[in-house]
Amino acid sequence: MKRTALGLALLLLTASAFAADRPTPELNPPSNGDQWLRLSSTEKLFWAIGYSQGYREALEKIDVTAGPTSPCASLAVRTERQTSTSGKLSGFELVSSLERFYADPANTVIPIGSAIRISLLQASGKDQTTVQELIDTARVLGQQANARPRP
Amino acid sequence: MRGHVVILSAVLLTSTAIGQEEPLPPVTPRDAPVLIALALEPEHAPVPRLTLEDAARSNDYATFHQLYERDPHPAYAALNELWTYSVNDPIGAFYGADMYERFAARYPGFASYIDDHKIVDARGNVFYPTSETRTFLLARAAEGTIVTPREERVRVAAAPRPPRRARFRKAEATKPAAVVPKPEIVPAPAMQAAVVVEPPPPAPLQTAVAAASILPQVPDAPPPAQTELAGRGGLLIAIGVAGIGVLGLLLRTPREELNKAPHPR
Repeated sequence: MKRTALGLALLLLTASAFAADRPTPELNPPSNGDQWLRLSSTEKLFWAIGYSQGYREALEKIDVTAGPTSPCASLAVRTERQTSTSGKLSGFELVSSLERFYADPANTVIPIGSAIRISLLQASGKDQTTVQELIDTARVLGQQANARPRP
Repeated sequence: MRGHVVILSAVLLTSTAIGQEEPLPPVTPRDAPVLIALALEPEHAPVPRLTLEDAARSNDYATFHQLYERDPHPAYAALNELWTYSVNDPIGAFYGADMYERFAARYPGFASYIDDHKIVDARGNVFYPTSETRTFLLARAAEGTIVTPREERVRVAAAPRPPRRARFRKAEATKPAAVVPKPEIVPAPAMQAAVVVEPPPPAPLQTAVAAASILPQVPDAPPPAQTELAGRGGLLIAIGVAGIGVLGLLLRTPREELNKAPHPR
């Protein structure tokens, strides 16, 4: 009886030790061009599809939470119309846009959300001067963000 | 008095200033000291020249394309083609079967490499990623691999060769003249037609002999297809010459007899 209890205790200890050694999986979405370019094409494609779906879901949630006639709902509709990739770009097109955008090494510091916004503006035919101003601003902001120590 | 002193000093000062406007020529000592000591100047390291490979590895399309346009290296042609497509096409991050088949034909091992990265869409269409393909092509280009499309290689291999029979004939023609079989005498086409179609008018025998003496000057290497015809022509010529000779004899005989006959006086 005593031996059985001792064996059971040993088994439990071993199991807990193994559980402690196993690392917690961690996978972060890309935050800028540098991280984006490290992904495989399959990862990029499914990330882009998920991004579009999540963006649309979030904007629809605003309508549900705030009510259909609230200012938030109209803001959500306007934001969706302006910034969402859903319905405007397919996943293939979004990946291709980002690939084009990050083919300039100076753009790799730009956050991926800004890159998508700029790509959408480019695709919609926004004048090049405005787009270039946005790119320049985004580069500065991206460099500042990269210079900050990360938690 | 005081005013005079001031004016005088002013005149003196002015004349001194005017005199200083014309400086003396510079005097340089014989052993002039070196003004710039080169040994103390900072040495800047030469700026490394950016290559196609560097530009491709740093994902810099603009620089890569500019360098390629300036000096189109054949090893990077496929990479330039793919990257240019990628930048200009709305879904340039992926490509379809056409381009896949082209690269698969050019590069052995490409099909198995890219097969792991292919993407099948909701309709069953297969797409291949440009990014991974660029990695593959860059590795091949860095190795210096210059490929020729397979279809071109096939075309080169299937270039028309001279037929064996023709080569044999050529070998025969290069043999010494003693070994060459004796060429048959072939008449000129005009001569043959004159003999066969239209019998010649009675002519002296010398004409026929003279005509026969011309015959060996006809090209001595007749085409093989005309050999049989030439044989027949020769036979006809011989018959014709004999006929002319006989005709000549027949026509000459009565005249001699007439000459021999006594003229009625």
